[in-house]
Amino acid sequence: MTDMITCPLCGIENPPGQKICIRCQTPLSMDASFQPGQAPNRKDTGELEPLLPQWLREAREIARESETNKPPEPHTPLSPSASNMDLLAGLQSQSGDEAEEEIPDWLASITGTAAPKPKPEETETGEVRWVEAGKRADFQQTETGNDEMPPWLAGIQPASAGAEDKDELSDWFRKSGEEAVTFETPSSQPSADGSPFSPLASSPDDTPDWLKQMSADAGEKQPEQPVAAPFESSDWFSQPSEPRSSQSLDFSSETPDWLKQIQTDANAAPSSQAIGSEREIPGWLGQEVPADSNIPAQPPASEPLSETPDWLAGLVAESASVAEAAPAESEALVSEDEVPSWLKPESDKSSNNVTPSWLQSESNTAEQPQASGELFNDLPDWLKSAAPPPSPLDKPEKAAEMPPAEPAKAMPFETVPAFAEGDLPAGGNAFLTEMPDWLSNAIETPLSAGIVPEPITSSDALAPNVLPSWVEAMRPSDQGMANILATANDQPLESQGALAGLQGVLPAGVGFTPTSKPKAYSIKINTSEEQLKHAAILEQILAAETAPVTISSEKSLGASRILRWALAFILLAVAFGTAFIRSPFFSTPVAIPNELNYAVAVAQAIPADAPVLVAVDYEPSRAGEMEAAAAPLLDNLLLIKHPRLTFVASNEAGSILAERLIAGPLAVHNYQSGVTYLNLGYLPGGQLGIRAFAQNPSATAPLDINGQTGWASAPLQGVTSLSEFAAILLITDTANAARAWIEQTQSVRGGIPILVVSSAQSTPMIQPYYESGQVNGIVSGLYGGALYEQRFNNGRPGTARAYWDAYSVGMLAAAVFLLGGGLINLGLGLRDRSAGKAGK
Amino acid sequence: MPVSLDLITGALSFLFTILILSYLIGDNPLFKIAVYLFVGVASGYVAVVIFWQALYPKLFLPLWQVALTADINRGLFLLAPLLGSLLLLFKLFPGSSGAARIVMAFLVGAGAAVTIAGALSGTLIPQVNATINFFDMRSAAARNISAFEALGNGAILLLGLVTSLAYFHFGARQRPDGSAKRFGLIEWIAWLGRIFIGITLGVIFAGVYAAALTALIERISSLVNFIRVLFGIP
Repeated sequence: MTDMITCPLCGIENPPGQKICIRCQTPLSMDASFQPGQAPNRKDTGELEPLLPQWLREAREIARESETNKPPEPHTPLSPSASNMDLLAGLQSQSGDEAEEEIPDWLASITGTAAPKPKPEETETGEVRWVEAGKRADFQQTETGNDEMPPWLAGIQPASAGAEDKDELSDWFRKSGEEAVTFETPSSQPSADGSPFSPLASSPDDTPDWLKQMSADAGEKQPEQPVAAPFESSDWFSQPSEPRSSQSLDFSSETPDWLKQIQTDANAAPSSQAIGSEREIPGWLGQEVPADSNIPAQPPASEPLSETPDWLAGLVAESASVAEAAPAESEALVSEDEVPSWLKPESDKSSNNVTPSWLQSESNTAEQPQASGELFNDLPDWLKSAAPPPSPLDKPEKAAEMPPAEPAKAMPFETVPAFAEGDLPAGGNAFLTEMPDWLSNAIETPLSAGIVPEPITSSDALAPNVLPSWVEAMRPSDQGMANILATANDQPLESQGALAGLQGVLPAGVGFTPTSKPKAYSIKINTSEEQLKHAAILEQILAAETAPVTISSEKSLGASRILRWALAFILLAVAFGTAFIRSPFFSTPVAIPNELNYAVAVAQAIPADAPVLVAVDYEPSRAGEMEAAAAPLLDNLLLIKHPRLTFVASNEAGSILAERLIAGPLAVHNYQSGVTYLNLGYLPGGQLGIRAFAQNPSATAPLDINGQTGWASAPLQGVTSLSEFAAILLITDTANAARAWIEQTQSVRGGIPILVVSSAQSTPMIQPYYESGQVNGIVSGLYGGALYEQRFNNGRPGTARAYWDAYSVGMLAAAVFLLGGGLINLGLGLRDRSAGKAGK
Repeated sequence: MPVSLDLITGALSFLFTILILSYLIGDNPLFKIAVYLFVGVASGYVAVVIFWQALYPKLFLPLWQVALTADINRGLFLLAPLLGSLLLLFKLFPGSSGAARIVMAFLVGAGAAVTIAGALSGTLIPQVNATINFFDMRSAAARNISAFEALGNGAILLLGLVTSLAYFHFGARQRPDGSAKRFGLIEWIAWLGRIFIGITLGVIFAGVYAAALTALIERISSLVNFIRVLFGIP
């Protein structure tokens, strides 16, 4: 049956070699999960040091320094192993001692696993290591007593102690108490007695196998190991100790600050106040003190007694009884300040509330064996599983019978407490306040007294599947974490951004890092001078394209507006003035142009009462000028020749303008439509209409403006074609109209004369036709009308003369404006030119 | 007291003259009112003139007469202008404006032919002959123009003609630096032609100014006469 593998989960036994449970399929392999008593994996968690609290890192650093600075000390039989906690194991491994990484013997014994052989402890000052793992002196007890040990621990006490129910824990508890006694009494010499462990005295039937094995190991090691052998159960108790001397301890350089503060506080507090002081004794401890307190000068214990738990009150009572038995030692008991507070319950039985809960539970187990049921309430789970069943040998009376001096004699070495006498502050709770959170939480986590914990079996304690898979996956491995941390340490530390403070988060890929200095390439472009010149030109062109072109504000607009207003004012003033005055102060022109002379000659050559064709083609806007120019000629012609006038218009307004002309300036002649004159109206079609009229006048314009057939009327009597008219009088303001009439009638009019009364603006373009003989005479504008009126018509009708003065002033003003403007521009040009020369 | 038509006409003439002259201060609603009225009145007048002086005597009246006389030959002759007029109306609709193309083609073609023929016979050839005749002493003597004067006028006309034509000759050679420059003689002749062109444009401007000034004076005289008549000023 020993080869059968018990499933840690369901408890069923599996045949050997089975990897998984045949019932619950739980992996039975010990490789992938924890097993009770299994030694923790070796993990170099030193790289995880940054994860530790600051105070712990400082302590570790100081410890390293102390290790390197201090000379090696003789090996102690016990190696300061780290606790089973991986965190602390990693701390121990930082020192490089493999032995430190070994599982503690006491734990290995408890779990039933074969304990490794004790290895000599390497040289280590341990002054600061105590902080990490504790030390023997930390657990010193003011008195020893096997009666304080729990029955299951008493069963493994060494036989030499005279008590059968001792175990290793009880032994080292006892010895730690002896250390305390030794410390407080420097004169006392360590006893030569090794106080070896005795085999388990309890009934073998009642003791588990693993406990038996542990007892056997203890018995085997007894002759080999020195006195310190019992401290294998707690490696942090087996730290090499130096002779206890509070004055000789030098915490100033190697202890963390918080520890220094504790030391300072402790030094400041008198020792007398510490020892036996009930004000420092928790109430739960002080409750039992008055029952049998023989300690002198004990203060009123009203308040502390209330804080003392029952189980510890019994311890206090026992301590008091022991003090009575050995008053000298009691007097020499170190004060509570000299003992680490978390060891006081075990050391001097004057426990206070500083005692860690986990140690309290141990002390409870050791000190109150008779109350085993209550003891288990205070025990940690892992210790409960290791607790032996109650044994009838575990009697407190037997433990009380143990001579208190024996353990002291068995102390093979001087121990150095972890804290000096004055380390503890006046208030016992101050130590807790200085402790790190993780430790304080562990201490402050109370175990409910009302809850009776179930007995911890091996499967419950360290079952392989206790750890969830994700936790298992997160557990650091030796090589993996080491590699990661080693790699991360080589990576740069991010100092900016969201990744600030992280290291190696953006590692460079292997092989991507440049192996050599990159080759430098010249960035200068090989260009020639010509290319540079062209590039510069191109840049200028592009710059010119992109440069905004400032639109020059038309400053002349304001000046032109003023000039326009000035010119308008002058012209209006002249026109109104001359129109109102009506007195001619400008004489008519003397020189008569040839075209006018020829016009007068042609007009005078027209036979009397001859049909004359009057073509009207000017705009109403030019009516004033055209009437002023044509009225003298027509008036003279009507006055002298009495011609039959036939009006025809080549634009839409010509016919009505012809009527206006007859009814206006020529009204004095009393010409009647259809009798003395005929208005054929508008000739549509432009040059086509003129051509058609020239070729067939009667067919093109058969009706007059009144809708009557005019070709049979008196004015057109005897006229059937264009050539039958005596003369053609063209009144137009445009050269195009004159050119159209001249061109389209050129081939049909024959030798009949054509006179042109034109506007001043069109005369220059009509003048060539006069020079070529196509036009026999020209009366040009107001100028020609005024001449004709004054020279050839005796001033009739006088329209041109009425406008002549204003016209003369206006023309003079224009001449002045032109001359003045020209001079101004000339002056500006000369100035700019001179300025340009000066600039050059 | 009856209001005479001349007074109303004179008042409207005075009013619209002032509205048009208000353009001196810039474009304004009064000026626009006057312009819109003139445009509207002119359009209406043109429509009336076109109907009564073009369509009615030349299309509708002959058609009516044809209808009365049943002269088919004359009716067929009048069908072309009638059809052409109807087709021209399709130009009012962009989708069917193609129907008026043939009419427009006929009008443009006929007009171009008449214009070219008239220009050749009425302007180009006579003007060439006139330029030549300037140096015809007999023609000058017939017109009582002395030979010196005739030669002088002819020389000036010839010089002005040649130089002005040379000014519009833009043929040039490219210089090594990329610039273009006309031939030296052409450049010099063109410079003289620019003078003649300038003088001609100046004369035209003077004629335009004289015509505009005469129109202004006529309007101002009209206003003054209206005021005189209105207020009885002698």
